[in-house]
Amino acid sequence: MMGKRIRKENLKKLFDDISKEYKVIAPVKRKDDYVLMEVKDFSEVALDYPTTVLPPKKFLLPYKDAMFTFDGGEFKETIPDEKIALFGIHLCDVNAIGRLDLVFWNDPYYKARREKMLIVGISCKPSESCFCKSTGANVLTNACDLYLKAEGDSYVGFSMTEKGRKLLSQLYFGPETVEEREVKIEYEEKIPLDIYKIGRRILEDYNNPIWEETAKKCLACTNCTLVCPLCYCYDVIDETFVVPNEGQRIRCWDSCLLLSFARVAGGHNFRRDLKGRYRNVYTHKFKTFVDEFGVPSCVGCGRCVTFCPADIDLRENLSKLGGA
Amino acid sequence: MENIYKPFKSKILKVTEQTYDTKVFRLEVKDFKYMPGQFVELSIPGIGEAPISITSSPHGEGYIDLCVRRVGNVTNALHRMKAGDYVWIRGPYGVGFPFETIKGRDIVYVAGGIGMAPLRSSLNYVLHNKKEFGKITVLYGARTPADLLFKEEFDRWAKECNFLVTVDSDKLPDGKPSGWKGNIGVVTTLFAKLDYPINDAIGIVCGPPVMYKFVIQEFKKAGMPESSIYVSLERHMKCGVGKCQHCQINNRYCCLDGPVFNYAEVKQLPESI
Repeated sequence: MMGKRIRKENLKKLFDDISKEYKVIAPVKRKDDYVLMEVKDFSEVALDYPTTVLPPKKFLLPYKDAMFTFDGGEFKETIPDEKIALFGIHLCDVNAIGRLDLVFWNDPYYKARREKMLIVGISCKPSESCFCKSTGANVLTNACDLYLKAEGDSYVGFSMTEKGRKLLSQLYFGPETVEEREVKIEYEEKIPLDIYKIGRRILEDYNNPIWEETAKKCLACTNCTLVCPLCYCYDVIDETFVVPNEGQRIRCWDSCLLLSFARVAGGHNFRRDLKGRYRNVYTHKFKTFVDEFGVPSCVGCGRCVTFCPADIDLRENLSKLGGA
Repeated sequence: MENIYKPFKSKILKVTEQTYDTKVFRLEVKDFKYMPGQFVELSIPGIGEAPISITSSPHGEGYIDLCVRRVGNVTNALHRMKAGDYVWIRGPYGVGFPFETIKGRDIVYVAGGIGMAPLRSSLNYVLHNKKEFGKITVLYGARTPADLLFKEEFDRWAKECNFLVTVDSDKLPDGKPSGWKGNIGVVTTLFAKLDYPINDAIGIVCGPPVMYKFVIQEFKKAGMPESSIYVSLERHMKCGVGKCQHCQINNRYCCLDGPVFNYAEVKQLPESI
């Protein structure tokens, strides 16, 4: 893979260039946390940050997204039309988008946003809660347009798409090239996991005691599914305005941890117990999704570990399931 | 790009009252190909969208029938609508009954309550193509005589197949006597009335969640292998296209892989039945 060097002080030029064409979303420090939000001035961008509270999925699958409007006559689709650049996104989050692409390739709302999107990734320093290596999400893929790898006081840019190549050909990238066989994040994971083996075991070892144990601790608050870059369950709701028959159909984030999730009309609930609902998070991420798309719907970003108010560590559960 | 969530407008051609809480809605459709067992997503703007199984059989062209019990927001709103009103639908979705696989075989249908809706589609399809199938039996159970659906077809079914009906209680929902003269008992009690072996038949079940386990027990007692049993499962298929996750049963989707499943396959899936 061929890269080109860019000096840190020249990143502003890259940012400004992108800003001309896109609404730029980047990590910004807010009190003790980092959030992804619109940035107009490069000086606000945090280049060195642990992880943002919410992943970038909110720019592709907004918390509340209009699908149609209706005025009694016809359903009119409301396809979004904005060009967003995600600037300074870690590889786990970039690869999460790559995996969302597998699900939403034929979803008109997701696709409209995704096709116009520019993703500029940036290298990171893995924290205690990271396990992207175990999920295979520590490798640069073509979900990323341009990737900036920190090296001393400069960055090496790698382009993975045509959009990325265009940027890499600009003069703020140095003329000399840097050769690398593979670009990935390497580190020692606190709890290394054999994700595929564990996934296969979930259905085989369905009544493992960890589900009962974890359900006792879990508050079903859905924090883990909200902050997950790959939790995409949604609900569909019709909202009416003042006049009946006038309104919009929206979809919004849902969570399989909620009691109502598997309820059907008439009141029967196919997953009433929290134990079953909690287990479902794992069966979907490490079994169902793997069966469907060949990869887990988890990129090891560690947010669910960091933001669980009940101190539940997904990695510990997975490692117990694996019999390790 | 075609919007996979966009419903099309459909006129209600006819509304037939079935019971105190269930009606059949005949909807106008054009170039709409479906198989028994499939479902549609029905929209009423401002109220919402709900998955409803198709109860008509595909040999009737230009329309579909939906048998709808009044249980949620959408179904309650639909019940207030009349012929000439419009609803919006998209579909059909899901995998229907495996007629290619079960061709030439005897079939035993077991329907409980509103579970009759999708089975009726399959039954009328099979009776319409009678030469391609063996002996057909229908075991149908409802809570009370007032809950029995499609009574206007009972005579025809009794002529064209082995049709047995039972009710859990002969009292009406309000507790008054109904004058019911037929069988009383849960649907599984009808198995004792079968006067021929069904071990080589295909079993097809649809009903309330609690019913499946007991019906499958009866099939197995009669010597039917698990792979001969098909179940049509209920879930809230919100999107119908395998995305929203509401109908997920471990690594299967009711909306894509079902709602009709082979029991031998589905029994490997905890939480399915």
